[in-house]
Amino acid sequence: MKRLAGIFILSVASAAVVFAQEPSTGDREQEVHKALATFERNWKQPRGLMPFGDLSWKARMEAISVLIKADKTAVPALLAALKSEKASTRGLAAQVLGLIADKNTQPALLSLLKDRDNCVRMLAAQALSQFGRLEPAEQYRPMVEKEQSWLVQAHMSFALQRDDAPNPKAIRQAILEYDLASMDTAAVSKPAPEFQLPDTSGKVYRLSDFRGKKVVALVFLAADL
Amino acid sequence: MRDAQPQFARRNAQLLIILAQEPGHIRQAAAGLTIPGGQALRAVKPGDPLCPVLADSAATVSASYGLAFQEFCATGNRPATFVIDQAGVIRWEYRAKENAADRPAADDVLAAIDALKTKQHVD
Repeated sequence: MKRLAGIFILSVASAAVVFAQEPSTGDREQEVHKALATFERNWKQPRGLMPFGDLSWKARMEAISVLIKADKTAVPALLAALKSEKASTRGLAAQVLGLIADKNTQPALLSLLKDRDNCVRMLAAQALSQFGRLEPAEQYRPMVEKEQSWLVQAHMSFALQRDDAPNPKAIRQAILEYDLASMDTAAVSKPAPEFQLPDTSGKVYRLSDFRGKKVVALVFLAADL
Repeated sequence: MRDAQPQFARRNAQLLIILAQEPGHIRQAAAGLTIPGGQALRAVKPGDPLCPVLADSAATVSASYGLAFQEFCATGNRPATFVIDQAGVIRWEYRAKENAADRPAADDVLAAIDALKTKQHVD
């Protein structure tokens, strides 16, 4: 009898721990709204290169991290955010919806290709490419040809010509596994942040592979220009 | 920088290029992805084993290096170059301040690599 009571108490305690760890849908939705509001407060949309020393880019990574963790729970709030007065919020929402890659959100993203802001149009094109090649090409090519921004044209062209299978799940996984405390930790005289990235053929490179063997000159580019 | 690759190789240094883009996008741009009007994107040369181009699709590595979301409508990195010694420690860096074309000359990076041989680093 005592043994059965013990097992019962243990089960209840375990269930309590499980419930305590899993946020409810309501909690998740609150986190989503909070993340969007925090982003709106802290993000400064750069025109060109962000001013040197401006750390507001971290607000984007923090928001994306929370929104990806919320996964499909975030979709209603993100769809609403596509109608925000702020272009930066519309752009963030488009970016994250592309990574969540819920097919039901495609129509809303397609309508964003006509947004008045070129950054929003670009992020919408990038998001749509996460669903695979944008079709039918005949419908969208005229849009590309009329587009004033070369940056938007480039991303639309990629979306129209995409010949590989997108993998938004892998991108979401990398974001879910990323420790935000690692942001901005590269500095002279400090250990270089370790990484593991593929090249375009799929071969994976780790920074630690070169330890004891070669000096590394690590070059980050803005875009493939 | 890529054209100076033989000079990096002579110094036993490995050039690695990182873009906050998907591998497919980098590859297609290199294959001559064009935009209307015939303008081709000038691309880095992926597939070059002497100068690998790595895809940071989630921008998490770029974030660790303090560079993510700072250019091209928050999709591109602040350009930067780091020289990392054989112990894995950053010994030199250059971060673009003015615009995306603000990059160090290859000679400056090579000089930073040469300086590793002459300095003793005590941490």
